[in-house]
Amino acid sequence: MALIDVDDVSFRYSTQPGDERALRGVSYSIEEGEFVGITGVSGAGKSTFCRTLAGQIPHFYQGEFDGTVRIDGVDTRARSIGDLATDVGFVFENPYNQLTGATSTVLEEVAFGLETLVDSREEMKRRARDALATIGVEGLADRDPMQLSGGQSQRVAIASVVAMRPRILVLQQPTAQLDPEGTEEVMEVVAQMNREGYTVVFVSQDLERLAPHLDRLAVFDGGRIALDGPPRDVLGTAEADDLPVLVPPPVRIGYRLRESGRIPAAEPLPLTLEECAEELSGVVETASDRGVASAVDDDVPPSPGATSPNDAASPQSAVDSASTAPVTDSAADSACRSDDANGRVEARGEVVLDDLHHTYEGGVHALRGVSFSLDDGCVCLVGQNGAGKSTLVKHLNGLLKPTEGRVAIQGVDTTEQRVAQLSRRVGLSFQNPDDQLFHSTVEEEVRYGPRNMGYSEDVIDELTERAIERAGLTDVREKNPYDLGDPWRKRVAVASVVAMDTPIVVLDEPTGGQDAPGHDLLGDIVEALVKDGKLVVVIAHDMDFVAEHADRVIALARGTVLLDGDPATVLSDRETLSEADVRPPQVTRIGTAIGLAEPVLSLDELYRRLDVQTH
Amino acid sequence: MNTSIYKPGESVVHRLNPVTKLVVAAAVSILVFLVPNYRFALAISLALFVGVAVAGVSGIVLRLVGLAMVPFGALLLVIQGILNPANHDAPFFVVGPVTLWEAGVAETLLIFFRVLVLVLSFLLMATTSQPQKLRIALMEKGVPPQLAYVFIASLQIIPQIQARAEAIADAQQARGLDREADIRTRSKSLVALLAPLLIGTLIVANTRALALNARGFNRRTPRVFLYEVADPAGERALRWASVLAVIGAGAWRVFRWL
Repeated sequence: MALIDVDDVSFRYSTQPGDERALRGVSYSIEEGEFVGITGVSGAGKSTFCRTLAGQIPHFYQGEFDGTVRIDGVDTRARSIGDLATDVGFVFENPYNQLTGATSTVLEEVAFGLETLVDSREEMKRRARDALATIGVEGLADRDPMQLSGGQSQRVAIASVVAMRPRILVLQQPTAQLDPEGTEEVMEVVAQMNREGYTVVFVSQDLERLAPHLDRLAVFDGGRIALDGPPRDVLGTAEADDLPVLVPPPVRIGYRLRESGRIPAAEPLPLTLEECAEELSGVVETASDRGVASAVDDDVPPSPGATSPNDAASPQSAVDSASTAPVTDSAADSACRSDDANGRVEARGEVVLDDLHHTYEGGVHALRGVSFSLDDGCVCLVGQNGAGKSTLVKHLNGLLKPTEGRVAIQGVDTTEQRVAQLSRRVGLSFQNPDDQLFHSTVEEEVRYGPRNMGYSEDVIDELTERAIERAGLTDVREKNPYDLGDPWRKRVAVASVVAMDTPIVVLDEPTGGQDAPGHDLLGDIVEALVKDGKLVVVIAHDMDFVAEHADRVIALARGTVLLDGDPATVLSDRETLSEADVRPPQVTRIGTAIGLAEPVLSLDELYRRLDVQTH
Repeated sequence: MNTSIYKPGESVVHRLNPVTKLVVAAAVSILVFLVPNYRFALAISLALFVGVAVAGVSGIVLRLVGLAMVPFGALLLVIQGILNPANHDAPFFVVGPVTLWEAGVAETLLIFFRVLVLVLSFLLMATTSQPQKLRIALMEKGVPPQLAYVFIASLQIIPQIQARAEAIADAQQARGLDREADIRTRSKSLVALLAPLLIGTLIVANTRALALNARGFNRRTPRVFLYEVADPAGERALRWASVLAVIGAGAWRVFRWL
């Protein structure tokens, strides 16, 4: 008998209209010890499915529930959530909301759930310490839970669930709000727990990191399971049918090689970078020099002067070589800029940072002498959490003022204007959409930004319309943002800033937690803004996004600029990047692994280099 | 960044059973409202300041007391000392057209020190009681687990709400909200600042309720606690004495009223 048995389950939340269902007749079973991944677009039913496993449906969420879920043979209807918790541990997306918020040490936090489970204080302490050790965070036992990094917090949250000794772990997008380092930490720990015998159900969009660990992958769509099977097969099908799934590069490359006949179609697809590189190495030999050489003079801009990646460590040389991101002398043309009759600030913006330092009140020296100037195109800021990225962008609209040095936006010193005035030049969308949203419809929410700019009604209408269309929100414009999933709310928040039509747009981690259509959409928005002549500054952890859309990449570490230049130069400088705790995109690493001399930034480029044609 | 109001320490105040601190805080707060003399409230305030100094929590307590009590005192003086016609008997001080009345000053002092005792005593309790020990001590005295949790969570949540309020203000300003504009614009923008905070707090509360539930919080089995919270006889006597003092003062007030 399967450990988890889901039989013909349907669910309608009481907030949903009568004919909608979050789940539609899902049947699924999971054996003890399996590691199952779940993916699919926002609103496909992934979270609802997980909630049924932990008994949150039907015990906590109101609605119509049909079918049965059995854990180890027992119907979840017959058990309470607290009782089920000893079999099914549930990890939420945001660790901060999951922790009690009322403890002063990690040990207290982990012990909290044991109060009703153990017989003695000694057992409680032992189990709490065991759980921390299992997750590899025993060193944090005496720390304040509210002062941990995202990855540490999520691991403490997992430990607090593991302390209850469940056999099953259900993780609901546990890495969506973490940086790459935190994501790796959590994935590693969960994979280790699976090896120790835990049954794991893991919801994620980050299949590049998750898929190699999985026994099985299920793709949800419209409240049903659209695909299910070993990850290689499922991802191969998803690639072949062009389904809205973030198929990892190794699978896509493998699929292409099979499609083009370079590899027998029956061979299993590669899933990891290593498998992919090994497979490609054979192909590179057969492609010989011709494939490698012909690529260089294609329309892909070769990385200029980037023969020695170390050159990029000096910002000046990198700036000189950044052919795709023209950095002009800003003083010359800033003088002729003026606001037109509509009060709209003229397009094209530039930003000048001159020896920018910022020290917070508590004494943290977050920025230590940052200098660069930006003109147009898409500029991506990369680097680990704490590198100073957020502190830096808050200087662009005056939310923070330099404690030393100077920031000028279109020739205006940020200390001379209020944030509200600077917001006509710089629109900034933060990472957490819920910090912004407060209107009852998507459309009103999007209008809020342009209305604050004091544009005329006609202009507001036009800008709102365009932003809604660009962000793919036309169908949900009348809905309440809080009735939409996280990825959708993020799009609403971005649209509301885009609608302000400022010459400079700053986006903080726009693709975090996004599904496949969301990734494409936000990429398209950035491209459209760049095409309009705007300067788009993006804080990005997602290196695939950077490789695809950046015209210039600036890597920060410990409050200083580590690298600054065009994407090919920066992203291929593996050694320097590692100082910023940033890994090049997978496709670039694959290119390096098979010995390509020039850095590769996209799959198309790789195919051209290797002369892999589809026809 | 420190997100907790609790300041760890080893002082004698820290070592008291949290329930003792809570009972004494409640008792002195009621007492000062029963005794209609500001000197009594002033004396209790001074005693509490000594407690704050002994506990080594002056930094945070004085900052919060200053934030709350300075504007409150000023407002009180204007309302009671100048505006309230019931207090217009003998002038205390006259500056041009403004008269400060004697009865008004007395009333101001009384209310101010009463509220000061209330604020000080609870801040002293909150800053010196480890939240989990407070929760455990409350449950050991028979307070239901849910209530005990809500009590300490609301003490701890203040700094978290503060941090989020700042993030929201940043986000709305980035969309053009003007916090430095005229009063009318600013009052209209209040909803942009408060609505996300309220919605966010509700979402967190909902998730927390679910997460606590999933950690067996509502199970009705006997509980085991991580800490043993000492409750010596002396402290029990102190608590009873506090209660008796309140009852005594109450009886005295009733007797005088009859």
